[in-house]
Amino acid sequence: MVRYILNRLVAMLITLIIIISIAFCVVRLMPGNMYEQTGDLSQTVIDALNEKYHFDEPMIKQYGYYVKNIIFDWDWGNSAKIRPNVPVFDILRDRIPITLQINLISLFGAVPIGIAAGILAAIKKNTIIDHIISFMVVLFISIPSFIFATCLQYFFGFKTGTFPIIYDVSATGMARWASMVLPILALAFDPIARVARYLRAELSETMNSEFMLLAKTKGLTYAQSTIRHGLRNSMVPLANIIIPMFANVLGGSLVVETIFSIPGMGGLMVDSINSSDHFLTVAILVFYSLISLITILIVDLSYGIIDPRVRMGGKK
Amino acid sequence: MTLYEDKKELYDSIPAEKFKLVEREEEIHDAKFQTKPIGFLKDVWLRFIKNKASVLAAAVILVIAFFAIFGPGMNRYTYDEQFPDRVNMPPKIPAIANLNLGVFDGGYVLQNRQYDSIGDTTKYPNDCIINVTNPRIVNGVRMVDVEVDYYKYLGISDDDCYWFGSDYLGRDIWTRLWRGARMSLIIAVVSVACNVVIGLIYGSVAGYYGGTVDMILMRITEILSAFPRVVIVTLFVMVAGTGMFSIIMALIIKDWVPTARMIRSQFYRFKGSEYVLAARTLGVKDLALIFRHILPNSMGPIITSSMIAVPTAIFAESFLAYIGLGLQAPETSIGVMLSQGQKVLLNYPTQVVFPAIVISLLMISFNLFGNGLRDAFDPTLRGAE
Amino acid sequence: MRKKRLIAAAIAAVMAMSALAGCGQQNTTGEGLDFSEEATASATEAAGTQAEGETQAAAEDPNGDTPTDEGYGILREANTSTIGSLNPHTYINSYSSEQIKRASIGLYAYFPNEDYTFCELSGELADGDPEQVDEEGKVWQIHLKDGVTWENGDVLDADDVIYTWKMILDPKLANLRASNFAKDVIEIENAMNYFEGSCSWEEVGLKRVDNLTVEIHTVSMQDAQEIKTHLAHPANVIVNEEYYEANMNADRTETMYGTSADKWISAGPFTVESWTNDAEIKFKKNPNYVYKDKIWLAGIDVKVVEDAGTQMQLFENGETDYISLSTENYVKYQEDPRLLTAPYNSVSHITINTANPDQPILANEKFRQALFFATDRDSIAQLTYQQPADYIVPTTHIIDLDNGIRFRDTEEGKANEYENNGYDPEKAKQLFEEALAETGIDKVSLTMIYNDSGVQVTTSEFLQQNWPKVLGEDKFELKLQSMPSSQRGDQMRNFANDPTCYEISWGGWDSTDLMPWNAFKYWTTYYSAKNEPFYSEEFDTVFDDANFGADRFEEGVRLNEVTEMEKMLIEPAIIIPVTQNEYKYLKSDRLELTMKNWANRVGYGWDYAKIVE
Repeated sequence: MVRYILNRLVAMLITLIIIISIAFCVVRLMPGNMYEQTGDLSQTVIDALNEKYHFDEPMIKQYGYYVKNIIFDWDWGNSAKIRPNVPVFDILRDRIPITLQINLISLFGAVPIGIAAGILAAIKKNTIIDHIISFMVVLFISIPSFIFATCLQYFFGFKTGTFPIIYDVSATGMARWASMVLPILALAFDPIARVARYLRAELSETMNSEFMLLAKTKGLTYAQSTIRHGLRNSMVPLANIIIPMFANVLGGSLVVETIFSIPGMGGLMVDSINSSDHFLTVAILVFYSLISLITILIVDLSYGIIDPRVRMGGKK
Repeated sequence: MTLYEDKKELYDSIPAEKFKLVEREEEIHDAKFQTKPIGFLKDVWLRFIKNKASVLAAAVILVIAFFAIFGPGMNRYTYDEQFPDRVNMPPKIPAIANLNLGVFDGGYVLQNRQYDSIGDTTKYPNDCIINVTNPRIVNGVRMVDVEVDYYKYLGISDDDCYWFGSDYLGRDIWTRLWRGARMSLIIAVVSVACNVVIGLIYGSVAGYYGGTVDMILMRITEILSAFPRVVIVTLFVMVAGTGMFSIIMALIIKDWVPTARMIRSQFYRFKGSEYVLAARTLGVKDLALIFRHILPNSMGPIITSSMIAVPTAIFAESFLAYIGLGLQAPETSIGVMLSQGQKVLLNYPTQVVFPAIVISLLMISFNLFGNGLRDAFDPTLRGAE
Repeated sequence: MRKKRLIAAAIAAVMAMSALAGCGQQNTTGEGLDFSEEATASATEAAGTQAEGETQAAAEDPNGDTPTDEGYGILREANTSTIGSLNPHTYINSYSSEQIKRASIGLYAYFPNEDYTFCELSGELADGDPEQVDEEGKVWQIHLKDGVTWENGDVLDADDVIYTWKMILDPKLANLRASNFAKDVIEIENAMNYFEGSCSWEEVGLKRVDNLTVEIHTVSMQDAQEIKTHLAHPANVIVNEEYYEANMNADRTETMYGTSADKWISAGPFTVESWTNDAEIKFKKNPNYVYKDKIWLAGIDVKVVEDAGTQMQLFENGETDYISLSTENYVKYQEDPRLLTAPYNSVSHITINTANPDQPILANEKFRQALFFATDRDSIAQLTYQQPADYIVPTTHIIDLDNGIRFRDTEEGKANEYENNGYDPEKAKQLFEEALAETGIDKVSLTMIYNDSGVQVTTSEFLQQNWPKVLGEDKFELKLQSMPSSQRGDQMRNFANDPTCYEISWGGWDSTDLMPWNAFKYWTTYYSAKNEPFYSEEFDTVFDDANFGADRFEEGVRLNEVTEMEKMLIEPAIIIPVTQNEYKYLKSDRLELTMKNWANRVGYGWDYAKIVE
């Protein structure tokens, strides 16, 4: 196991280096010169800027400078458009905590509810309870998040005034928590529904296995057998769903963050691409890939932990 | 010590004539079934139609597909015909309007109107005012909300009806909605089909062979999935311009990865099973093992997930439309309509509601349909009823 | 489960709302409605704040007769843009520059005039107008006010001014806004040479004379107004040496100055109290500001709110004091007495890549004119609630500053406009047929690239249907290709390297509205970020004469030249103007404007407004 993890870590590092290289090339090849559309710039200044950041040199050399700066100075470049002159990781550092806070609270609330709903639906399969839960689940998944978010904002923020309309960055204490309620709610629907749906599907499949029959013949009640034996087996595919959810929270939600004016990670990717802020775009790409790599590793490892029948890395 | 040995003499003393053969005249009950054997697909079908919800879902999908094909031709508007003097019309269906239910009657509340101009017939012609509410004074001016029959308000004849209203260029939403549903379904089905095929093959190979092959293949998927869709679609837009091709490609490039990963995990789960070992001992070839023995186990999750992937692809397309990378105008899709409607959600909610209902129905139906199919395909459930 | 039901109920409510269900008893004439104060107060929450405002107005004005050092009341704004940086040398968008002006001092600035009806360009740090030193008008001295300080009490004098100039032109820093010193309204001696590293600082025409005097050497003859205009640009506001240096990196290639509240120091009307990047900035009145008696407000809170619907709810809820309305929200409030409008300082136009080898017809003058006359500007204006424009110089541009005469109000300006806002389908059809005959093309299919947001979507989609209707659907076709604005800009401006990069697109230049002659620089040969391949020596000559010619200050010369330049662009339809957009504001009663009307440069003067509550 330890060797497997080490192997994976080395592989991860190599993957990450490949990703950085591809990301750099892809971003630099994208249309949109960093300085041309800022508007009223004279050619002298554009030339000077291109020279300063080596944009006038061949791509491979630019890549060389980029790598050199990272290795020797841990300098990932500065933002050019979103926040001129600010090191790109400072921008991420400002935005991640906000996104993280809201999304984590939302997920920690949503996952247990989703699991409970999924189990209930599976146990009471094809009864009215199952149908109600399934209907709710599908409703949550099927209605676009901006409609949910806008409606929450309109009814609970504007019409009744129960909660603040937008997220308040400068408020402290209760006021700040209150301003987080609506975005948290808006973000919770999707994970609840997804967890519940997957769990129901998996659990009802597991229920038909022979070992469940055995558990019942042993004299366990239906609920006991489900929770002790069924659930663990259904956790494998569920881990596949839940772990990426926790990783994705770092990405934030563009729609919810736009509607509730949250200065999080959600819109940063799109903004930086649209404004041709190349170093920032690469940094965000690298950050996202790192998260996704770690997630994949955890998911893979979790197979072995949750399901003892799975042996990682072994040959056939 | 059997019963016979115990009382040997007693049994032996029974005369042979007293015994007779039971089978001679009576029907034999443990004979072979006389019915025809059922094929796998027929069995699937039989089990599928037992699930009422799935059948209903399939029907809904068929109805939406029907409208997606024939809906745009049902009234006299085309999806791209503009009427600059009839923008943002409320919905009106004459048959429903006559019932006086308060819906689909072309009524609309004009907010914040000056009270003093209410009597002005050039502004509010033909008794179009239905109701005047919410009186208030703003900066010394008397303001009200005026509910009007918007069709009379604009002086449009009774024959002209926008069943689902019109958009910001006066285009008929009914026609655009079904046209959009058609485009969205095409995009979704094509991309999902490609994703399933790619994911299936890729995941099987990675999961079955494991080891180094798995390691390399999975690293490739990691690299692919590391790039956000926005980046990929921007690249395709650069090469091919916005439009269907770019969107479908953006939905393919990395979206087969979850399918592949799922298949792979299913392989890890089953390849160590006893029956696979047995098959391998019997000398079954790799390909046969993959596709005949292990993969059918994964069909359930694949079918469920690909059915759910169809509406998810429609959602993904609508996200692209939301950030301005949708279809080329005047072509429309559910996503394009949703993203346009989002901007006016609080002003003209009907412009969002209809596409939202269609996308929700698609989601619900594909989910239920997928569940039904999964249950029907599940080999362990075969003959369970 | 209960939570789910609650949400389900909310959804049901939305569905119900969407169905536009009628309610209760009906009142079709509006008679017998109760407009009393009580009814008003309880009518809606939005109106509630109004009523409050009314009753308060009668009470004593809490502001007093003159502004106090602390000021009174906080102005609350919401804006879709973010402030990337407060550093005047590197800021990106014009919105940032507005915020920079709020928290810094420049040599000159635009203020409301004495009776608050128009703007006035006068000294902020400078004491009076620049003084001409030499005969030719190339050397100018500027005297600084004595006793001006930074917010922390440090003295601000000629050294700070010189340091600012030296830094903006620093060759190693290579600041974006150094282009402000390229040849434009004025050209400083050797400024760009120093920037390029080809001469020393001593040779640059920016000198310190004494503690309170600086001197400017220009390349050609200027007048005081031109010098002031140049120095009033937000890129020229004074930076603080101590902070600028402290945030510089070791190589002196980047400075973090102005990227967060603690890396910024103000000498302007407001100080930065707190700043959460991309979310909120809070300004506080600066009691050390030179014109502190012009500022009534105690502070300004600016929030970033991207979603138009959210902004509207904040305003209706009384959480912001004014709002810039989106088209949809304007429709809702078009009869509201609180509505204010302000013209855009630019004309939105279609640019044409006349040199595209794939579309030779674009080089045909008659074809472009056909497009010009086929553009139904009135319908577009009606659809988008903007103003139709068949001209290039916006209505805001003032040709005669002394008398405040707008170019569009002059006889010459009016003569450049067409009847029916330049929409003439018959003429268009005829020109189009002639163009087809001349070029020998039977069918034209053009692709227009546009931004997928706002008015441009509506307009582009409208033209996609309207142009073929006018020109003949069998012979003309318009395809649309939307893209993000930065990529579109880059694609357009790449025409020199790749002539086929675009066919037609959109443009709209925002320029100095007090100098319409300068606004034509975007079409001169030497402009660096040109949108279209228009190169005309004749045009350049007229432009140079209007901007740098010896006779430019004589009466009527510039008027004629501006008229001529506009004609040179419109007659051969180099660009096709479509609309001049309008800002639409809704202002709460809590806010009382000191400005009597909208004015150039200062707008409605939100910073000079009062909070009455």
